[in-house]
Amino acid sequence: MMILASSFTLYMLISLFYLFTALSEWPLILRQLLSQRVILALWVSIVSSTIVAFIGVILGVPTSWMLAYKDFKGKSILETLIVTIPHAYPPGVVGTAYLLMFTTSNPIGNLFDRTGISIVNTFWAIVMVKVFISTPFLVSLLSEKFRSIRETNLEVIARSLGASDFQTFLTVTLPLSYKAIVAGTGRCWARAMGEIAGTIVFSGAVIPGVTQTMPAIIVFEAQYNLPIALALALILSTFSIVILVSFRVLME
Amino acid sequence: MTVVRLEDVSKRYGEVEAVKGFTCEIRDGEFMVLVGPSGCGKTTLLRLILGDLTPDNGHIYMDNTIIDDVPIEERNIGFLPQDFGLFPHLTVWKNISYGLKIRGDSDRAIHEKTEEMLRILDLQDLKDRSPRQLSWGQQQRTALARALVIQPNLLLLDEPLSAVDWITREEIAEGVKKLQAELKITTLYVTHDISEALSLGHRVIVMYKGRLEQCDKAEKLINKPKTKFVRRFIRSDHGKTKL
Ligand SMILES: Nc1ncnc2c1ncn2[C@@H]1O[C@H](COP(=O)(O)OP(=O)(O)O)[C@@H](O)[C@H]1O
Ligand SMILES: [Mg+2]
Repeated sequence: MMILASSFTLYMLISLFYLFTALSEWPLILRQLLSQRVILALWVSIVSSTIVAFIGVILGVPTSWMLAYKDFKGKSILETLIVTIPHAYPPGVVGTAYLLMFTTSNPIGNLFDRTGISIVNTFWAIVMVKVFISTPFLVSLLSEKFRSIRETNLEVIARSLGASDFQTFLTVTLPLSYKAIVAGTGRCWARAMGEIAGTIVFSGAVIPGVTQTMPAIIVFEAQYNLPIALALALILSTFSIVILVSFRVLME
Repeated sequence: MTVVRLEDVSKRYGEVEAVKGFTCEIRDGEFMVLVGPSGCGKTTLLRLILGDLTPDNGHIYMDNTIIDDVPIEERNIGFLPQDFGLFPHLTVWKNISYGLKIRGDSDRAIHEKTEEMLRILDLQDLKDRSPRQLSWGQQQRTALARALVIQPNLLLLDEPLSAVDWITREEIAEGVKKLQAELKITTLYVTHDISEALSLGHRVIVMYKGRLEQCDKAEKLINKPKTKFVRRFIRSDHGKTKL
């Protein structure tokens, strides 16, 4: 099963590259890579996704910890609300929901309107959509990890040996969950990089250097000019893979 | 050093009453064995004493002080769970010295005490290994060293031998008992094996369905069983135990 899955991934990557080298499309890729539109879109994608990954860690680590270690009333409802539903929602619907939330007839939108802060059609619209869609990827992975650590006796033993709650977290929980935090952050970032529908709906995705992301351009191009869309897809996937891999290596 | 007393202690998990009105005393320096069939509440009782669980009812005393509200880290109890719970990310040496380091001992004291424990339990050659690279018996000795190095007031052992073959089992059990006698640490040793209990215990508590059936010396349990269950349980030993 794992061999099948990994060979499928490899096959996809190889065919993408093959397509281009075989058609001698290198000049096209290069021209696209150097165009201001693509550089800006890559920049928007990478910066927004990195901000999202940061927010994801700040929100996601304590949330995962609470879900695994604290037993309180309404926990399963809370978990459904912050993990299952965001996972299951079509991203386009998320974007639409945000849009509705920020119309002036909505209390929240009204509040923002009166304070003069606008979110719709800005860079922060992208970030907001991506946080909602990507953070659950970190939380589901990490809360599972925390739960499996809790099931062992390790933390109880640390405490019996004299460690406070906080010392136990630092010396046992954190070292044992570190890899899951790194992996979860990677997943959160990758999901944010790939996000399309929600961001298009809520941010418009048309202002270069502000709301126009790489996946958005790819979707637009795919409707008119397939070779360009493929060239962009290759650029995006190469960047994503290189950044993800170097992030993993750096953190190990 | 330490006397532990349970007074009418009860604990339930939702519908399940795991420990019911349990009263007993473990004397200073005693090697007490707690025996009962699997699922009768032994681990729950151990976790209550450890402080990982709080009694729903009754009180637990250590040297005449109620410890119900004392957090685990202030109880100074050495604990060996069924799976030993060695920290997988630390070497044998770091596992053993963990408690000393957390307590803020000086580097020299940590070094001396840890090396001493390594020597007593014959682990010197293994000190840089990770727990994954240890045999079952080596893991057990490491866990024991880690629990003993903090000089606990009380030692709790949860079925430490349940996965060993009979021959090594008697050997290890004797080893543990000898070590306990040397260090004079009040010890509660949990097992589901009546033969092991009868041969090891200074005194033995027989537990059944969350209740204390009888707490006595081994001969007394054999000659004067107080309840039907104790009689049946002892008979299942088939006279294997030589006293
Ligand atoms: N966390 C728990 N939640 C619910 N029931 C439990 C839990 N832990 C133990 N039990 C139940 O309590 C009873 C006593 O369990 P335990 O103390 O582990 O027994 P023993 O150690 O003697 O095998 C069993 O019926 C067990 O199923
Ligand atoms: Mg048990």
